[in-house]
Formats: sequence, C-alpha cells, structure tokens
Amino acid sequence: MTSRRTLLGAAGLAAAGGALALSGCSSGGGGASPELGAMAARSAKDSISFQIWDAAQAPAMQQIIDAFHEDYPGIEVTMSIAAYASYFERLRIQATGDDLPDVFWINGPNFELYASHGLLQDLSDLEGFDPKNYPENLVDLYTYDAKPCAIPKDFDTIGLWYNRELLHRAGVDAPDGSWSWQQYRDASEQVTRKLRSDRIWGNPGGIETQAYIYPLALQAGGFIVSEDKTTSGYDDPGTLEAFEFLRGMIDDDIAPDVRYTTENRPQDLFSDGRAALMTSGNWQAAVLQDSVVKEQIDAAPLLHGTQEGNVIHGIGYAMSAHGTHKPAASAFLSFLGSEKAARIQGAAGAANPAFIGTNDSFFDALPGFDLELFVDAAKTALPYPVSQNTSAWNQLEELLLPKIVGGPGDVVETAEDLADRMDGVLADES
Amino acid sequence: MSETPAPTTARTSARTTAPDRARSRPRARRPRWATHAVLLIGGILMVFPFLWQINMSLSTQAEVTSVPPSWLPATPQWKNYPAVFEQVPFLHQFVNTALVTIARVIGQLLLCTLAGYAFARMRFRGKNLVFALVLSILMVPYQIYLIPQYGVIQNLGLLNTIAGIAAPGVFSAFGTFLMRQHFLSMPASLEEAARLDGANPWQTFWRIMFPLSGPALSAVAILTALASWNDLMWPLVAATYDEKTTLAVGLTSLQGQFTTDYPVMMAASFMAMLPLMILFIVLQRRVVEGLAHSGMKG
Amino acid sequence: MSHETASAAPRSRRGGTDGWWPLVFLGPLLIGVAVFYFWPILATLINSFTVFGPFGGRTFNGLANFAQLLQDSFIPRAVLNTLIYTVIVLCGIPLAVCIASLLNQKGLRFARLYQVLFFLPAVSMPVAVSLVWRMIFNKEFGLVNWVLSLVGIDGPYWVTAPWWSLLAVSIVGLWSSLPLAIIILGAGLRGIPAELYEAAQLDGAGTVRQFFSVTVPLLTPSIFFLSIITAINGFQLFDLLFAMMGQANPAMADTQSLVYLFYSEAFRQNNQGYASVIALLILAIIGAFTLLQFRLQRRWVHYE
Repeated sequence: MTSRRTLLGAAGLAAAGGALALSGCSSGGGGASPELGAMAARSAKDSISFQIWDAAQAPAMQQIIDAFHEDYPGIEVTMSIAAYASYFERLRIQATGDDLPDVFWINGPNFELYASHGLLQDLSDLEGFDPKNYPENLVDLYTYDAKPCAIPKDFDTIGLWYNRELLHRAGVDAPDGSWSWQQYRDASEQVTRKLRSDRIWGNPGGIETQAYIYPLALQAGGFIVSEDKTTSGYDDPGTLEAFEFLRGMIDDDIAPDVRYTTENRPQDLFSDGRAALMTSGNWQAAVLQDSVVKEQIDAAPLLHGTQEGNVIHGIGYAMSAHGTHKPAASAFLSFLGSEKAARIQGAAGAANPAFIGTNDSFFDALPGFDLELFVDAAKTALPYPVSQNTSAWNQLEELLLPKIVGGPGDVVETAEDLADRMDGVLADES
Repeated sequence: MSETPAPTTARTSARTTAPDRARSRPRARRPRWATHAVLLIGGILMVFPFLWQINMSLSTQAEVTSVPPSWLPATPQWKNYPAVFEQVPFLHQFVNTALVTIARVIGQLLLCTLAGYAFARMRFRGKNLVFALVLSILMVPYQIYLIPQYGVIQNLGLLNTIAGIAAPGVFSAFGTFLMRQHFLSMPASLEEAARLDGANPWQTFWRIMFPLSGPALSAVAILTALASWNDLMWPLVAATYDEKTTLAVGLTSLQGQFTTDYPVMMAASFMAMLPLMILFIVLQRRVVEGLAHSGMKG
Repeated sequence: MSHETASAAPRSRRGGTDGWWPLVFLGPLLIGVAVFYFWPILATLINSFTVFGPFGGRTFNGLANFAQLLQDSFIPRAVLNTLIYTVIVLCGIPLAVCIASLLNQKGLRFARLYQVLFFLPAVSMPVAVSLVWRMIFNKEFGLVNWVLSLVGIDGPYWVTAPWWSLLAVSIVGLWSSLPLAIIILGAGLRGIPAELYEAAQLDGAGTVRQFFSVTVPLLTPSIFFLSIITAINGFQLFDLLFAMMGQANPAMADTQSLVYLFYSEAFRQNNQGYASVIALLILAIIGAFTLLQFRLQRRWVHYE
C-alpha cells in the first residue's frame, strides 16, 4: 500500500497551506473563491449541473427541479445520473479535472475525503439553511471542522423486508419484529427447502455491507472501525460471529453462495419474487414500489442479536467549492434543503426526508409499506462506519468479504487478513 | 471489387498488376453439402448472440431468467424499447456517438492521407525514424494514454465536449500506415505527368493522388468508425455527464443501477449496436474489402 | 516494418529532398501525435517515480513503485491470465484458416450470406455484446449450462468462478476476433495464383495435400500479420473483462488482466504512480513479444 500520509501531504489541489490545513471544507485554492457570496436573484439567468446516483429517485429529483424552476424561471438545472457502482469513480475524475458538478449527492464514506481537500462549499452562510431542521447525527456526519459542508437529504436505517406470499407458501409466519438470528435462519431454511424447486431462496444472501454485514456485526457486539478510527473491527470476536453465521447459511445451502449472488444480486432476487426475506434499508421503498412484487411485500423491524445494532446513514446535498455558478447553485441548494423539497421527495416515495417533521409525507406516499419502523430504528441506530479515507478500505472489503463469507479458506484467517490491511490504511490516515 | 488493387503478399513493392482473381481449387465439382453444413452451423453460432439478444429484449424479466430458457417470448414486450429512453438519455448519447465518429473519420481521412503520402512519396531527413516513432504508438495499450490525455483535454478546456472525446482518435498511426502502404503501391508515372505540368506537391496530391485512393480511404474510414463507435474507456473518462457521453458508456451505467432490468438492458444494447450493423450490412462488400486491405503486408 | 523505398522517380529539387513540403503534409498529424501520444508516454515514465494525491498533484517517491511491483502478488497472476487469454485467442487463427478456405471456394453458393453471418461479430460493440454473453454464461439460467445439462453435466459458474471466468472471457474474445481473421485470410487466399493448385494437382496432390503444401505456406505472411495484431490485442484485454464480469466480482482477483490491473490501480484506487509502472511493464511485454515474432518470422514465413 502506498503511504496515505504522503498522499495527503502532496495533494495538488491544496494551496500553500497544504491539504491538511484544517480550515474547513472549502479552504482549498484552485483559483476559485471559497466564499459563498450572495444568492441569485429571482430574475437570475444561469444553468447549473446536478449529479445523483439513484435512477429510482430521479423522478422525485426532477419534481424538485421543476418546483425550483417555478421560483427561479431563469435557472436551468441539468440532472445527470451515474450508477452508484461508478459514481464515486466519476466524481473523483471530475474533482481531479476541477470539473465537479455545481450541486451533487455525497455520502458518509466519501464526505471527509472531499471536505478535507477543500472541494465542498462551506454552507454556514447559506441563506435559508438551518442545521436545527435536521437530525443531529446527520448534521454531524456532514460537518467538517465545525462547518457544515453538505445538507442532509434523507436518512436510512435497516429493516427486514419480507414477501408475505412466499412465506405463506412455505408455511412460515411473517416476521413480527422480534426475530432472533436463529429464527431468521430457520425461516430462511424452511422457505429454501420448500420452494427451492421453484428457484426461490429464503434469503438472497450477498455481502451488502450497510444492509447486512454491518448491522449483524454490531448486533453480535462487534464493530467495523474503532471510535478513534485507528483499528479495524474485522477481527473482533463479535464481527467474526456474524461472519460465521453468514458462512453457515451458505455452507448448509440455506442461502445462495457469493458466486450466485454476483450473477443474481440479492436486490434483484427479492424484487423479482425469488427471495422471501431481505435485510435492507428504507431506500428500497423507491425501488420496490415499481417492482412486480409490490403487492406482496412489507417491512418489519430488523433482527435482534445479543445487542441492538442498526446503522443510520443519509445522503447529503453538497456544492462544489470551486463552482463558477455559486449564486444559482446556492439558490438551488437552499431549495433542496427546504421543507417544501423534503415533502416533494417524501410524497414521491423516493426516500425518507431528513427534514424534521416531514416523515409523514413519505409514510403517506407508500401506505402499503410500514415505513415508520425505520424512523423508530433511528433512535438507537449507530452511525455508519467511516474514517477519513473510507473508500480505501471499502475497496478491501469488496476484495475480501466474498472470500470471508463465501470461502474458500478459513473465515477467521481471511477476516484477520482484511483487518490487518485495513489497519494499514487507517494508520496511513492519522 | 473490380478496380481494387487486391492485397498482395509480396515483400517487394506492390505489384502493379492485380493478381489473377481466379480463386483457388479449380477441382472437379462434387457435392458440397459438407461445406455448406459446416458454414451454416458455424455461421449460426457466430450470429447466435445477436438473435438471443433480440429474443431477450422482447421478453419479460421472468422469461429471461427462466429455467429452462424460453425460446420465444409469450407476447413480445415492445415496451422494453421505449423504456430505454426513460432510463438513459439515449438520443443524446446516440447523437454524441455519431458526431464523435464523424469527426474522427473526417479528421483521420485528412491527416492520415496527407501524412501517409509524405511518408510514401517524399524525401526528407529522418523519414524512417519519424515513421518508426509514429508506428510505435500502436504497441501501447490505449488505457495507458488515458491519464495524461485527460490532463491535455482538461487544459484545453475540452472536457465533456464532442471535440474532447474525438480529439485523440483523430491522430492515428494505423491509418497513416495504411495510407502509406496504399501510396507506395501507386505507379510513379501519375505524378510525373502532373509535375511536368508545373503542379506543386499540394496540387499533385489533391488533383491526382487523393481521387485515386477510394479503397484505402474506405478502409481507414471503416476501421475508424468501428473503433470510435465502440470505444468505451476514453469517453468514460473524458465525458462525465450522461447527456455528454456516448452509447457505450451509457450501457455500462445501466448495468450498475440498484435493480437490473435485463430486457431493457438488452433492448438498449441492441439499439446501440444496430446503426453500425445496418450500415455495415448495406456496405458489406466495401467493408470486407476495406478490412482485407488492412491486412496488406508492408 | 518494411525497408522499401518509394518508387518515386528521382526529383530535381534542393539536394534530393522535398524542402518544406513534408512539413506541410506531416505537421498536423505530428503535432497531434506528439500531444496525445508521445507526451502521455513520457508522462507515464515521469509518473512512475511519483505518488499521486487523491485529486491530482504528484510527489517524487523514487523507486518505491518499482519495488512495490516486485512484491505485488497480483502481478504474476495477471501476467499469466493475459498470456492464457492471448494463447486461446491465437488458437482462432487456424480455425479462421479453415473457415476462410471453405468460404473462398470457387462458385460457392450463398457465399454472401455466409460472409454476413461470419462477419457480424466484427462490427458489434464489445460492451453491448458482453452483456449478452454474460446472460448466456449465467450459471442458473444461461444457455451454455442448459446445453450441458442436456448431457447430464452440472455446469460451472462461468462468470464468477476463477479459471472458468477466464475461459468464458477467452471464448468471447475468440468469437469476436474471428471475423477479421477470416476476412484478412480470405484476401490472402485470393492472392494465391490458381496455377499453383493446378501444378499441385498434376503432381497428384489431393485436396488435403494441396491445403497443406500450397494454401498454408502461401498464407504465412497473412498469418504472421494476424498473429501480431491478435497478440497485441490480446495483451490489451480489458473491455470484455470490464463488461462481462462487472466490478464487484469474487473471481476478478484471479481473472484480471494486466490492463485491468492498471485500470483498477489508476482509476479505482487512485494509485496513478504505481499504475504507471504497471503500464511500463505491459509495454515491455508487448515490445518483447513483437520483437520475438519478427525474429522467428524468418523461420516460418514464406515470401514469394
């Protein structure tokens, strides 16, 4: 591994102060003024770019753009969608080329990297933006060096999605929110045994971190990254217990193995009606409302391990610090953060808006799904594990989690390998 | 076919007489059912993926993933085709791809013929060295050029523009090589006559040599169009906005969405290939000749 | 390449050169080539001694990248994968010789139709067609495994298991490179004078003998050209892997080619400095192979 210290110390975008001069998110040089400046007037004429990663939420975002356009008829907003798989690759290319979109989605794992390089606009002075309107832990997630550098868009926690019809066919009772790991395993086993001839699985397996591995690791008393961001938790006994549990289901042919889930993603299995139980977030609502199984599914609270474990995360709206259309971008960002935009997003069933007091718009949009449980889960959920250079160890996860969960090789050995490599990355950060 | 100088396998400079076009094996005729069987089965295997692609694009998700495979959709799902336009800015990307391809073809035809002519017909110091250097870029996988080329395009302010996506592909060593081969095979007497009339090399080139270069020009145009239409990596880097990029990149972004809609993906990939395929089936004879041309030995 | 000189008539201009005209003709191309190709190669050389910041900017780090190359366990595997792929695709050349011979028989009916069939893969978009092949090779509902199941074989994970995925990618590579090979060899075949076959026939050679004593030797220049092109393309394997296997594939570590490794270091992990060293390694391998080919050609390529 290259030493991240030299990496960060050498960042070319940073001004003479060096990349780590901690003076907020938009302290960078790059020739553009880090000042936010005044917001565009209603009569302003301009065009700005807006980039997102979820096609399922594009219609809702377009509705928000249209509503914004009513207030600012002269400002064109061009939306661009990059698939999540390549979104941050693309964003990095854009940042390197000093070509970031004016306004774009950011997530927890990548926030600090961008903020610490002065690429995100400090939003302290943004007109109409009051951090008190959003849950505190999300505001914290998007605060760098005591300055807010992104506006919380939504929040997600993890629940247990299930397909009533498939469970019924296999003679399994629907989850009631009290399930233990063992009950989840037994239910999965019964569905798989009964319906395997129809190529239907009890649960769709997979190695989704946020939706599956992180919550289970936390529930077994493990952790992913220590609070002081120096140690990986992948060799923690609790985390290993979660791995053993997942590997056990694959070995016993209850859940599909990782080669199968690479070809048939868990998400696709569930929305095609080929899996009965899936732990996942409330972002699924946007996806599943258009699927063939929308009438047969609902969500229940997540499983319970030896302790409560759930993960909360939310997308953020950020602005490029080096943008050349800041007045127009400010106007748009301010609108994105408003209650009005939050309600449009909720009513479209896109995501649970982060703006406090707008949850009901999301619940009402999808009366068929019990979405309140995700809000309840937020009360005790732990923050999504991040460090300064999260994406570096996310790469390691992508490489090694399939081997830990699906074999070949020993669970503990491979997990220790992952922990060692991740420790190296973390050491380079500090 | 008639006026093409057929490719030659001679090491010496190309012959001036086209080789006898009589084909191999003047044998006693005998039934060729074995030949036909092999060619038909082989041919069907070659095009099978395209047939299967069309089949999947008209099926439902359930039919695509059914076991055993469904050979024909119960009812053709034509709606998969309009659905593509909702998921990716297909028309934008189609226009971009076409514009980039046209720009590259025209650019190469101009630059490569001029340069090829100079390498074939002119004398100047260091000619062989310069030519060898130009050819050496063929050996390098194009991915290696990506990062520095990105820097160049960025400095020129051409990110996310048609010009930026087209630019590197306009300068082609292979095109130059093909044109040089072609001009080497042309008889010298043509230029002699022009020179005696007092024409300078520029006039000679445009009046005499260029008009006689049809087959070679079409070879360059075809190869360039193919490479440009299907290029993935460079547009992926040089254009980072959906409506500014090309079809190949658009297809990869369909792949990474949260849910995979196989039939729509197949419809999109079929539509992305179709224009070039139709063009090439129509121009088949030309294309085969052109591609064969590229196999000429120097 | 070749050592021929233009057959132009002697010219009566300044000292046997064409003065400034070559500059006029070559200038535009050379400027572009310098900016977009020579400079990038130079930049790659420079970058190989540096380490990049996450958003650009470089610092000198001496030979550290080269040291890392020697310790990188992925490199030998990627070299092996690239070689295996190239060899499998090269196996398509003998196949193409047979098909081209069949296609170019005199007076063959339906030749146009067969030509279209064999020719279509050449104009297909690799990314688009990879998506189709990925479906065909699907473990559960793919056609290949369905055919295997008819004869009682439980097919493998073609796209997500080590070795199998390399084989699947190679098969697709072979399929997509076959048309061009058939076309080029067809042109070569048409260049073989008919009287050679007549002579062979008079000597009592049958069809098979004719094929091996006339067709193959006289095709060697085309075969040589093809093997160079095919091998260079083989070493540049990337698009097929990228589109057929997808990014989060457990078999990728065991299947990746050198160019894929380069891409993943440069664009996914942002180690452009180290990626540049991998790029130099790819260059060295292609260069060495091409030199070797030219050395060996004297032994087996027959020019008239």
